[in-house]
Amino acid sequence: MTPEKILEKAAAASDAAEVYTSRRESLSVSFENNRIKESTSSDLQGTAVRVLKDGRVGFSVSTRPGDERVADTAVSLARFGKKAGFAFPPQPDVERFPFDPSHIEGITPERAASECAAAVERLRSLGDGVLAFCGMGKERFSSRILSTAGLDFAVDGGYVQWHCGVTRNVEGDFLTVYDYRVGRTFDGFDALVDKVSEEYRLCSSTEKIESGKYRVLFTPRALSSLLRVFNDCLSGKAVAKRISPWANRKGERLFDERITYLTDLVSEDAPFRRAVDDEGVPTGRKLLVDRGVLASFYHSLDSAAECGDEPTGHGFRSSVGAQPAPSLFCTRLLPGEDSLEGLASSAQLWVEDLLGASMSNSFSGIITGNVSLGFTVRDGSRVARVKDAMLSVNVFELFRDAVLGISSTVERHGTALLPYLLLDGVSVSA
Amino acid sequence: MKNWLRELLRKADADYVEVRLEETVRTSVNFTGPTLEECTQNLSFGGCVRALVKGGWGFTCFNSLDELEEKVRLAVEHARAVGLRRGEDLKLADVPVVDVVVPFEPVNDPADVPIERKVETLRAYNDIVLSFDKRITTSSTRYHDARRKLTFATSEGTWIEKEDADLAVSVAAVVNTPAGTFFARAYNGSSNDYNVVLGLEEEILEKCRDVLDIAAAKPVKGGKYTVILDPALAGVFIHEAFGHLSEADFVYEDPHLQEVMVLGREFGPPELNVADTGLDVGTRGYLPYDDEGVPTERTYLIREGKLVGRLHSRETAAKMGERPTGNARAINYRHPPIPRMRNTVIEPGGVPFEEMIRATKDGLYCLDARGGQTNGELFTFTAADAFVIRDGKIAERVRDVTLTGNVFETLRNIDMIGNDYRLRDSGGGCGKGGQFPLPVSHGSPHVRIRNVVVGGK
Repeated sequence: MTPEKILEKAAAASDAAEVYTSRRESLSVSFENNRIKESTSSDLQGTAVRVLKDGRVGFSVSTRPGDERVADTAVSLARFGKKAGFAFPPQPDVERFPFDPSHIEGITPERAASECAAAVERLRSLGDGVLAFCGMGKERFSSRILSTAGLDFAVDGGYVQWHCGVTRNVEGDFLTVYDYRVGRTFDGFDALVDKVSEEYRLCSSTEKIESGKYRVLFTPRALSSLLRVFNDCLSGKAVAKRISPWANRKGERLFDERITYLTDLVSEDAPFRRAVDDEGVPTGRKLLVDRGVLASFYHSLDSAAECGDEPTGHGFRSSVGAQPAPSLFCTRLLPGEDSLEGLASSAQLWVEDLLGASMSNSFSGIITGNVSLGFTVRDGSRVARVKDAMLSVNVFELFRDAVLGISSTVERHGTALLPYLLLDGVSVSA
Repeated sequence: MKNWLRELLRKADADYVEVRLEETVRTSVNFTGPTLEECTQNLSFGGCVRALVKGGWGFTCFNSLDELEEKVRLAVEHARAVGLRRGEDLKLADVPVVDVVVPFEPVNDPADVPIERKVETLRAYNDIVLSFDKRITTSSTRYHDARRKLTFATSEGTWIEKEDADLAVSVAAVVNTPAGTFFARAYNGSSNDYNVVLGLEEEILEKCRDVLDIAAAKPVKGGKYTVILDPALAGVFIHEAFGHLSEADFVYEDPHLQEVMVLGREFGPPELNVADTGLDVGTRGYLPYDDEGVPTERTYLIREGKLVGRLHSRETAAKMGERPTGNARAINYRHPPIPRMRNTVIEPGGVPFEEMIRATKDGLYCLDARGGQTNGELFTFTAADAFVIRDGKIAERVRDVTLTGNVFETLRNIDMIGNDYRLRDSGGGCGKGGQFPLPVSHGSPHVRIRNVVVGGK
């Protein structure tokens, strides 16, 4: 059954209906333990139906192609559904970002295998006992939203992702160094291999540190672990449910005035450029924290209605099976005025990766993680690897009172664009 | 279909080919605060083909079963491209060829419970939380069940038709204070019995009382502690600290790690026995056949403190010259199987809990887990609740307790194993290689460990 027919069927038994279809085609090649391991491909699709009936929301999904039962199930479940505080939006008048498939067409399994093989060859030369891993893949996605409000919007896109790293597991010293990139075009493995190689070499010696308070330089990757507090507490859903401790603090200065945090899905360099979200609401550039002041939350249709705010175009589906929920991509913490060298010269520790940080209760503001990749710093240079040290960062307090500097340079981590951040008084248990 | 598919796989130009076809109906009921946020029924239907040629794997997954021959050809083509570069003469570990139908034998089948009743039960639980005390800011009450029909076939002639289920409930009370937001939750899970969802009222009331005390507690002071882990947290500890290290894909091509993980090596005290089992009917980790069609078993990892086994797929078992253990699992048809845990347990020792507390002058009593992570050597996990132990008595509550350590040191530092083994399934799951959340279980008695690093101010 076509999406139009499914919409017709759902609409006939409800007050308003929406059909979302998606198709994702991907391929990837991976290397493990210095050798090619696997080549994969996928062709996955699904149809989600959302209806508004008697003031309530009904939702269902099927991945069976053309499955018409999805309309009936959504309608029948509406009687249990959440009260609908929103209407489906009309067709938006926005600039479209046509996807140029030529950027990813050249990524074939053969090309990916050759690129990975070259990266692995360079990484293995780092030393005896080094096991290199590497992977590269692409995804082409297309989605379409149709609704009884007159919306009919198709999104076409694609991206490339690539990663590489090394492990060296010897008695008493397990080490994994890796990094990854995602983008609309493939920039090559060289920068990643250079970074991994440099960090691996810096791990040739290990230094024990004592428990105490430290001046810690967080790299963009480590900073992204801390910013989970921002991402979670700024979510319209957490605000609507009163889980976010910032729910009533819009307009208050919560942080150092050098902290400006935003999301931008329309800029030329965004890895995912989207004119509308998965509900058909226009996206854009949105200031979340403006010079330390809590400026706004990010919303889906539902969370905006619950909070009495306007939707912000952040209603995305984590998979075709999930209902739209407030989601952040392409975030930026704006750079400061400090040179990286200057920040490093003031730092005692340089932290790249924290193990277990994602398990912390972000709504308490405290991110705790074991330093899985980090270094002692002396005279601005990374000296030795730090191990067996647990960092505990109270983001609420330290981003307000203990920001010693923010780098003027930024780096891409996933879809985020972030600077280096130097914090004072970070608790370390060792 | 059966004969046609078997013939298709037998004729495929590869060293090995397998097909998995799945149809899963998933029901979810979620309340947040007074609102029924989600009440959905989703159908997931799809399949995958995995092929092996000269040591190289090819994999493809799809939702449309049209042109299955073409999909088998594509997977073989992927595998051939890898095999040409790899050129390895790999033969998977031998396992019996089986032709079975594994029926679903529920105690109380969640599919027989009308959705109205599920919503009603969850709403009643949710109301207990919301009406308990005005200091409780909100609630999060979640339920899911998934009922799956699976067909698995290999080029060796194995054919398995299986029906299974997974279900979990979690009821959390949430308190929001200027110091942050705090949670306490009651939970349960099963692979065959909706009854585990019922009768949680007393436990929910207890968690409501707990969360108010947790919110009023002081953050723990960072440092090294003697810790006593309750059975739920000890189960997560052994899963994170040793279970993942025992997954053989971590070891099988790493000669240095094989030296570290040599069978017979002493890892803990003689009282320490650790196993992973797929035999426990009703647990979320129950797995009669893994996703390579290998029958399950109880696999000992540590016996009397010594390493005696690891968790294998057919590939890792063949490469290490060891026995396949039935641990190859895929979260769904979108992923190939990799070595994963089932129900990972610390077997009971002989120390009564009271004696363990009495014998601890200074320490922490840590309960229940909010989750954990490992990189093989380091592990970290967060306790949902904790108390100071002072002079052999449980004293004041503390919060924000995250424990971390080196796996090898920490296992050696286990000095007491309780006699009170307990297994309680939670609604969470295990993540590895992009496959999350896989239903697993863990069980343990109380366990005492010396010199564990706890993060904090």
